[in-house]
Amino acid sequence: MQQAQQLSHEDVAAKARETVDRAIQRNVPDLPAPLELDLEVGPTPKDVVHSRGTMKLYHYRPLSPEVYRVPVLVVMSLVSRPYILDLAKGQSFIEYLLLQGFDVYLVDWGVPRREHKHLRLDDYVTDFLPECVAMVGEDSGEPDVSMIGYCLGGLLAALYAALYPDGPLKNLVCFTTPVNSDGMSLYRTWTDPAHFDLDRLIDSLGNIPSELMDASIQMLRPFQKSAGQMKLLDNAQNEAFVTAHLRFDRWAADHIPFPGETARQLVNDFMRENKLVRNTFELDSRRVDLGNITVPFLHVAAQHDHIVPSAASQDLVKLVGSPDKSEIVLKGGHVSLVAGGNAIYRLWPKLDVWLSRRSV
Amino acid sequence: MDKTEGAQNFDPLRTWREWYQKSEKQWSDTLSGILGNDQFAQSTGKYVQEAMHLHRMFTESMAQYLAALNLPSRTDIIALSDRVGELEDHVAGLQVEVRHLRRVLAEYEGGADDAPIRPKRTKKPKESAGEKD
Repeated sequence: MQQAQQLSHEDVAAKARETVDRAIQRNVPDLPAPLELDLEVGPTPKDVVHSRGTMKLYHYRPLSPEVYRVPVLVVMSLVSRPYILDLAKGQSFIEYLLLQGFDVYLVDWGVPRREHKHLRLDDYVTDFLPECVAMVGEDSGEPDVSMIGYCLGGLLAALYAALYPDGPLKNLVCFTTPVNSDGMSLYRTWTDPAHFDLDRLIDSLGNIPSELMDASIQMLRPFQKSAGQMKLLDNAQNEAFVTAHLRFDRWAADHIPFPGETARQLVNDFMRENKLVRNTFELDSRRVDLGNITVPFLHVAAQHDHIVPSAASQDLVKLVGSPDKSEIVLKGGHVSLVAGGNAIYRLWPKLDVWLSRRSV
Repeated sequence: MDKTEGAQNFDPLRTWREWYQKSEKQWSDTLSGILGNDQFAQSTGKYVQEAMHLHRMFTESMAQYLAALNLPSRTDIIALSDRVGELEDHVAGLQVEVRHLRRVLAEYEGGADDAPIRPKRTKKPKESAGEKD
């Protein structure tokens, strides 16, 4: 109150004017804004190496004169767009890997259309992924490949590794990957067959609409978005913060539909029956035993992950059969592992050390 | 404290915002506890079914009005979006072909000027890089 008493009316008016001016300049594109909001995402140069339907396999142009022998294939989740891994220069997991000397490929599943509603996990794991691995081998000329899977992409990569233990996979890294639905109590309750008619939903809509995907994620932590907006307001004068925040917000609002049959399979086999930890999960009529994974394995989890809580992912390390396996648990949330400041300074260097020693 | 600094710090809602940010997790956990009970799940399941039914009825009736006004419906826009998606997929296929042809041509001509540079795969990890995991 004492501070307020020291202010003159002019001070308050000047402060109000400044805030309003900034707000207007940010929102009216024709005004010469002092803050140039460059919201371009995915800036790291890349080429499409292979394409099939909505799936694209990208190769990022190397940023290092010498690379490790084993190329890295990044497997994206089916839930969101891959540019979270390459948000901006200096805030990009992909750019970091390239600068450390890795040869990086990324599989982007694209946005499923109505015609893709029939796609199942079987298609992704036993058809698309093996095809991408073969293409990476052909393009790079190397017989081995390392995989890094994020979220549901981690699950796809782990399923692939379990089904193809004699394949070209050399290392497997899974970021915050769900394997035990006992640890996802909210989703399990919401999808309980006693009151959720999944079949009717999928039969009617084909794919799960992006709005429904977004709403289900927001409901896991209902006040997080509004708290984020307040943080933005508090840092309105910090242009770097505002730009990073808006860029991240853009990604968070940019959900994509989820293929209907994959959703049916995940809800029934994974969420309701928890078949993966019970070792009864099947793809293409073959049982998936995570114990078949024998390549060096690293799991990365976030302490405050509310989307894939550690209770849902921590069993992965136990289930994997690799003699060389480890886990890194960092402070932060589900997304900050791949796009947050903590990740840039603490996680990514650890990953670099782990992977570089196994990539020669 | 000078006046400028005072003006910068003057924000009566700041304390409330800071409190909200700090207690957001507790609020979210409390609400999640409510959202996670069977009663809520039951009503949500019922709501989703009813909303789907209403949505279908509304979509069908609106489509007639929009068609009468010569305006596209959401279904039309989605159909258009699907076709754009198909075109994007075909363009990606062409990009793959062009890239492949450029590589073949570069090998045939002994290396074209604009052929992508392939770095050597000889990098070794730093000696000092020890694992602490």
